[in-house]
Amino acid sequence: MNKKEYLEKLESELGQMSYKDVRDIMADISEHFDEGVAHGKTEDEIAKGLGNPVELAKSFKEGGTVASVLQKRQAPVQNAKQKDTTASTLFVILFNLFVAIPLWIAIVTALITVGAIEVGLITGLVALIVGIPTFGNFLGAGICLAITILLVVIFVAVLLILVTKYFIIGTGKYIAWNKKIWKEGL
Amino acid sequence: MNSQFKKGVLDMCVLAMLDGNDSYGYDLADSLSRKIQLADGTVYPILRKLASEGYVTTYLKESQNGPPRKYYHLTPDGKRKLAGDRKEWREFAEAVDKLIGGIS
Repeated sequence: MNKKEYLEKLESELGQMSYKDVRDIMADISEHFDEGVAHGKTEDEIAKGLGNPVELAKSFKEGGTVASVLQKRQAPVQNAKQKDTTASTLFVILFNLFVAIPLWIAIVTALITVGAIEVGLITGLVALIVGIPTFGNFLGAGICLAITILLVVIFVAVLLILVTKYFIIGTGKYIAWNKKIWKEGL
Repeated sequence: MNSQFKKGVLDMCVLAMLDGNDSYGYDLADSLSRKIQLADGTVYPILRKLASEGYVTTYLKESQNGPPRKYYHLTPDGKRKLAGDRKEWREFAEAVDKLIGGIS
């Protein structure tokens, strides 16, 4: 392979690099040929010494220019991410302070209240059942009332268990989400 | 020699060759391929990479016979990089020698 053939092959393999990069590389390799000839070598020897133009083009594409392009592109993205994290962290803190935590306390309070009502209902129900034999004429009404209260107790118990379960799952998920935001931003 | 071995240390070798005296592509390619068996072309992508990373700068200088040559010069950043790489390499080579029972 002579100089011209080698450079043509190299140029075609460099394809997608910028015009300036290709021109610079061509100048470098062309200079290498000229120096080699000045040192008494033939173009064919020099071409062999340089190695396969396809391999050389590959090294050029993997090397400097690609890395510098990546560096330039990565830098602003990182900056933007940094800003994002600060803003989103601040947002999360404020959101937790003014929305999430008060809401959480309100739900816990509501659950405790419903729980207390449930305990009250059960106590009342037990007292009613104990007292039923003394009802006399109102026995039928007493049993009806007892059954009604029992149904309410069961309904509230099921509701309470379900709500508590999802509340605990929700709290766990919210904490996980918080951690993620803390680390990666919105 | 294993080409993976070479790949990792070639940047350092090129920096080391430029330490103390500027040089041009053909000369670097020639002396590198004499010492480490590889294609002369290998040095050019490395030089471009080192230039894009700011470890070397280039300038054109007239040669006595023929067109101007592109010379490469080690920057202060390049000197620091070389010092760091050198230290790391020595420690690494020493540890590997101990492991494989190399030096008698």
